[in-house]
Amino acid sequence: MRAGAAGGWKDLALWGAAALLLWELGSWLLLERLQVPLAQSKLPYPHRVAEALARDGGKLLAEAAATLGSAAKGFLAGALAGAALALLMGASRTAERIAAPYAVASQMIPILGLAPIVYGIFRDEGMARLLIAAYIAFFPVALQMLRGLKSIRPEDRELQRVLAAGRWFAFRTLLLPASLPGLFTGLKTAAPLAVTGAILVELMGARHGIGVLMLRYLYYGPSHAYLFWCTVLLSAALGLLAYGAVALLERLLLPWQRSGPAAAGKGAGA
Amino acid sequence: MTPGADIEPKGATRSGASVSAAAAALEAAIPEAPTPSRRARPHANKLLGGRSAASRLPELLLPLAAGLAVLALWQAELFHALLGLRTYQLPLPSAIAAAAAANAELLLRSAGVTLAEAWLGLAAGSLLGWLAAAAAVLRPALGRGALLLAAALSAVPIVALAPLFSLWLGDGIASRAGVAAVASLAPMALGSWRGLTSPSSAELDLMRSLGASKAAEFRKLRLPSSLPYTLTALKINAAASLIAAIVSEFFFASGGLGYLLSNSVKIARMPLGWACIAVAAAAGIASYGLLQLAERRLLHGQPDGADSKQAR
Repeated sequence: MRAGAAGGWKDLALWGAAALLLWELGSWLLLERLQVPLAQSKLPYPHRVAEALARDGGKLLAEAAATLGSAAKGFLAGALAGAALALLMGASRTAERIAAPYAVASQMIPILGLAPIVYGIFRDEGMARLLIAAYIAFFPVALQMLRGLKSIRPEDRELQRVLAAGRWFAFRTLLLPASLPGLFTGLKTAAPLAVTGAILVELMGARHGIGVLMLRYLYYGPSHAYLFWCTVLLSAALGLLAYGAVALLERLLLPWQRSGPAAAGKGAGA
Repeated sequence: MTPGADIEPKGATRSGASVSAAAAALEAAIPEAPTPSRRARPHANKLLGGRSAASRLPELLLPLAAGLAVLALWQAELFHALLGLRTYQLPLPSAIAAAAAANAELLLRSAGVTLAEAWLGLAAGSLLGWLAAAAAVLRPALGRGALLLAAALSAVPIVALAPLFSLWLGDGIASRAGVAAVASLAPMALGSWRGLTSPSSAELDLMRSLGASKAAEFRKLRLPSSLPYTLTALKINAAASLIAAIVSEFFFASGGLGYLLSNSVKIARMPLGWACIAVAAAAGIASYGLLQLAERRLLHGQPDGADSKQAR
């Protein structure tokens, strides 16, 4: 198992290196051979981007941290609210019938379209970022966690009822273990989106955050191409970091399972 | 528990066990997107006309009443009182409806632009993603790395892609379609890969013992069993590509719902902005419904198709 996972990382490293090489080559091709206008804006040399990152890294990282911080706060609030809704839907059939169709519909509609509206309502970047990140986390967490709660076998519930188990005991021994895998599935879906939402609000006209720098460098034009690419790569890294953090937490808290659906199946069927 | 809900996990564990652990790492990286729609299916069917109207009505009545109640409270300015907002910040439903009616033509034209971008990107990205999945199955050494890259790509925020594609592809429709394509690439690649590797080792052994070529194995066994997974990925992508198109329009576009929306907010025409949201939501649900319909046609008679008809 361990050796295989290491093989996966080796694969990834190999492909990463190949992609980097191709990038360098493509950049050279655009700039020197084809002489495309704005070649360095379109595909700059990766080593020049790395240089820019090394030079201005501190400032960029500080802004990135501001973005990540507000995204994380909103994400946490949304996840908590989503978990509460899931528990409510799990406890009450009426609540599920009212809320579930809306939760499902919310998966089909472009939620991020709300970003300018929310910013328009509050005109406060911190609040808007927080709300959007929270909203994005809310429904996936609620839906997936409800799915976990639904996978509890009726026999188990009945057994606890027969034994006159208390509500807290049932929550701790039955509901919580059943809902955690779904909770993490929802969190993993929502984590990169929360970062996207936070950056979106910044692009609407905030004062701090990686999105602000991205827009600024884009307007400055070719002279800031390398810095612009730094902000793009950094926001990509933020998305990966958000996903990775949730995945790591999942592995720490639920070490016995690798992926959500498989475990949910085990809980329900096997 | 519906049989369909069982199909997914079984496939997931099976492939996790039979393929190497590198693939298991990939499995963990797969966005768990197939699950929401799978969980959602019974409800979605009720919403989208899966059963006869008579049996659907009571199920729909409660959520509909709740929705109307929220709208009524909104119209009565309860939320304004609670949150200390004015009507110019959060327009009333009646104002939104009026704005939508007054700008119906503009809204429809914008929705057309956005849907064109989204569907173009959906088609291109899904095709690329499916090809990557097929490559990963037929040539594991080559394709697995591509899949891992696709998994990494799925965590990249759309907003980081929008400016890049507008640099590469100009101001036209192509740049937003490009973003939508990237957004739909990863779910399709990972979902289809999961489907193509879902046949059990017993099924594969049978094919091999009958002397089937790799091509025949792919066409006769892997492809049919991957269909439900591919269609689920397509449904996820319907929303993902629409989000990608709208979000890229916020910044680098001269038309489309996202452009109209962010412009309306900038010049403080909030009712029109909300109307854009309503139209975008309708477009998203319509795209999803269309794919759902196509899925039911294609999967007619398959166990996965059957589960959607079964009452819970």
